[in-house]
Amino acid sequence: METLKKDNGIHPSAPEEKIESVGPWMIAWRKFRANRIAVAGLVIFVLIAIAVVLVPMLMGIKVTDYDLNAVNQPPSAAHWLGTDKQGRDCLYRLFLGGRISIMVGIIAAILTVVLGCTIGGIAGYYGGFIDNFLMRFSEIVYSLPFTPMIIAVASVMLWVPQNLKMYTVAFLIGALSWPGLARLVRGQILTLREQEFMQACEALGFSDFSKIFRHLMPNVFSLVIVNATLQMASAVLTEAGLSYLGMGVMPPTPSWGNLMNLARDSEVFKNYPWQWLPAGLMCLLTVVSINLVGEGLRDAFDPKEIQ
Amino acid sequence: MLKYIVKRLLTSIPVLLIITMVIFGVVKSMPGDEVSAYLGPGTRATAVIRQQARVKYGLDKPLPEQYVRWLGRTLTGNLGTSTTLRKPVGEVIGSYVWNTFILNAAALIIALIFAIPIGIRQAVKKGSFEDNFWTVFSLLGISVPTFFFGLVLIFFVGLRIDWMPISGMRDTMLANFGYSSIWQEIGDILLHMILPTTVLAFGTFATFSRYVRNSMVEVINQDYIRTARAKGLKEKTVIYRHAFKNALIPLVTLLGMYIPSLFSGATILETVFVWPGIGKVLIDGINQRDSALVCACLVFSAILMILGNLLSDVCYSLVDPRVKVDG
Amino acid sequence: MSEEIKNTAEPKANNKILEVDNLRVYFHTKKGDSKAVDGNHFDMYENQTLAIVGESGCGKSVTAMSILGLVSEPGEIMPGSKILYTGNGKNVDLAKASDAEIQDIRGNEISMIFQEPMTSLNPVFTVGEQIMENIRIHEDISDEEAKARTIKLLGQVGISRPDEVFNNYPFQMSGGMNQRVMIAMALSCSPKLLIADEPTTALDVTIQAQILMLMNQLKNELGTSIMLITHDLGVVAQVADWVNVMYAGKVVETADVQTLFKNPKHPYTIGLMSSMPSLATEGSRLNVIEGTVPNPVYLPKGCYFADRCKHCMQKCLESQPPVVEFENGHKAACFLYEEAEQKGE
Repeated sequence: METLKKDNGIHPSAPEEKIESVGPWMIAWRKFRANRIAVAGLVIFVLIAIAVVLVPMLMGIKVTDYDLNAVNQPPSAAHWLGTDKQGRDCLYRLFLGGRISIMVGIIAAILTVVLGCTIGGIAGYYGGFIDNFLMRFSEIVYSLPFTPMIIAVASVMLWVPQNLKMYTVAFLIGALSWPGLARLVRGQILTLREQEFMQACEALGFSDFSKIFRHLMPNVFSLVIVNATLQMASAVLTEAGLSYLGMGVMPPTPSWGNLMNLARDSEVFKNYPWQWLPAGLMCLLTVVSINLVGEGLRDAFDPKEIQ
Repeated sequence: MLKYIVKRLLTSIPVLLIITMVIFGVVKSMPGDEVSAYLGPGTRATAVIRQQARVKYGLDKPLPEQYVRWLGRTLTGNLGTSTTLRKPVGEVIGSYVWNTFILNAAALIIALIFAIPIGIRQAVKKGSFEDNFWTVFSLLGISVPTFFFGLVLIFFVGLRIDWMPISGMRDTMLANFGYSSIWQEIGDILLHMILPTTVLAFGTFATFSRYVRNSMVEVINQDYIRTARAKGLKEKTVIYRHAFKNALIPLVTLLGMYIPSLFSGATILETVFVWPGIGKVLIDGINQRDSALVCACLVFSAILMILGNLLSDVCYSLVDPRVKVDG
Repeated sequence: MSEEIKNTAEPKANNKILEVDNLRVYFHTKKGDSKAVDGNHFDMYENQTLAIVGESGCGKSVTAMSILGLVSEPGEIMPGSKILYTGNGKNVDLAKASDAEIQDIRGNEISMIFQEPMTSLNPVFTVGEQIMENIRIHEDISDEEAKARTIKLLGQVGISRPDEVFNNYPFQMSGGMNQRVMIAMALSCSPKLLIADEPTTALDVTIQAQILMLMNQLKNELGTSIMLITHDLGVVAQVADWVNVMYAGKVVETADVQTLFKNPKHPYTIGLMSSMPSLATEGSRLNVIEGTVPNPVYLPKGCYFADRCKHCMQKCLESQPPVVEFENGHKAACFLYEEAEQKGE
């Protein structure tokens, strides 16, 4: 009886099934790309980010430009979004404000991640007394009522110069937001620490720093990046609220929050909606897009989610 | 169970103590002159009177001593006097907290009525157009700044509909001249609640519908749902009895966390709608350096936060037969 | 249209309760249709234990799920498939039946137990509630009667102190106990057919034997037919009357259990047998079947087993193998026996 060798094209119909090694990042990226809503969010956010950087530059006006002969003008060809009560161009200030708001979001998110990872990582890695102490500390910060506390502390920090106000706001948000992330990171590290590859690190005599930041952190990275994205969205929101109350970024520096603050003047609110409405819409659009990206990332990193 | 609760409360005491220190420190370092706040706005006081007031209110003592005195008074139930409202702080919180509560509770109920069935439908039809629609809708609810949504509602609805009140909790005229009946009063308050409740309910709906959806999606893929189908149960029974009862576990946990916060104000939203709740009182207090009031409100919120955590753990152990807490 | 194996063996005097004809279940994926079951034919008779054997992914579980209409998106029972249930004087094509018709049969006339007893019971209901629910939806009896019957059933499946276990939650019990509960639930309405999908795979070996004995004993007491889905030939040898061997969505060999073990014909069946550890082969190396099951989206033109087969010939790659019949309904789909058959005729 004739027998055939293995290599003579047994599966003629299946060659397109390529076998390639796909890392977890590649898998996540593919899943993210397949998620149309998340990709739409990313595109919108990138467009907004480009716009807030480029539009004020391309408009060829300066921050200090004003025209007292054209105050509170409705939208027109010269001023697409009208002017405010000092005759400044609202479109220009809208995008300039976007820079500040997004910047605050980014700084606050970075701060949250740095604090959350460091504290959570150290607590989870060392355990025992250090863990107990740090987790108690994070419980305290976590139990502080977030919005009222930020408002109260912001009012204490009135002495900060106007131009540094945005950093204060970002700092405050970050300083009060990290406990959630710290808990997640700690939990993750606690489980990872028990696994074999950590014993291997131990055997190889790596330093604690190297063990925590080079070997454990990459494993919690997906958790962190999702959290950072969502944190950024909520920081943009918090900045808006704070500035709306007049306790965040201070004029003349515009931000979406303090542009909406103009609506507290009932005349501006009723008669000149172009001065505050676009800021709210831009803020909403930005936060939605960031949240869409965050949700998309979460699904993409979730091993249970199969496309 | 009782033992567990008591133990948790006891371990919260040191945490709370440190929180009061932080809060007291922050409030004391708020800018502005506290003595003037005590003497009342616009009072021109001589240096002597100011000094007397400083001694009278204990403001001449070092900060730690002031803290200890304040803590001692607070523990005996004396929360001090609000300098802006000229009333005992306890009384202020006691009355404003209910205004906050009815607003939040109404929003929560409305949100749940919509969030549960919609979240379940989304999970059942995962990936469908309907699911995506509600996903985007609820993301809007999470992403919109509440005060901006409030402003938009006032601008597009409140200013254009005559009978739609846009601020406060009662009609000034009616409140001053007295309501003809309790029903008129309730009707008036309900009318004033429409816009702020809409705003709050939208955000709450968003949070809960996403939660219900995600936990239902998780549950629906479980083996025991297949078993329930294999028994010959109707799809409705499978979803609403077998699946939902499991999805209820995380939901109740979240709800437990949420309930205490019904008493703490939606700070910025209450300011937008001039709703006389805890949040608005707090902001006014901060603006006018009403330290006794601000301290009390912040500590009150912190206590609610801690209670929320405890309550969510307790709820979890109540609904999930697998969880047993022991002291 | 290639030939497909049809199980025609008919234990005398017993009635046919299930007739599966040309069952095809495809999963519609982005890359194309994944043919999980591609032309499955078999019959089942009263008081018979039919074992369906094969590697994971060969379509044996999907076959079971499709009988109860539990195949869900993106899977579809393709048009032309027939699953005729004829037990209890009924005559229902389960492939086309309405939801209500199928729901009436599920748990009542055909019931199922699953591989993972720990996760197959709902964690938030007591085991008693879960068994009672099955009785209450199919029979019009009072709570007390249902409860009494549940406790009796728990006793029948070998649970001591059934009235206490009634109020237990699944997480409070072991896997073996939970599988007994599953069996009690599945048998609570005296079904004509019990489908057991790898019922012992997740259990310890000693517990496995107990569960198998229990199933056998209940089959004899109640006259229930059992469709046993397994990859474990040891289990098959213990309880089955008749065996279908499946490979890549098709039945490749069918025979009664003695014949199959004594005289396996299909190279895949032979491979399975020799890869089974036994005392007889102690000391020698276990045989393994090299290679893997073909991707069900890109099935080859010829015999699906060709690339793993020691006896592969040119024609095996070109067309589907013929079905060759031996004595007593023993059949195999393989070119090896084609000539022998022709000579015999």
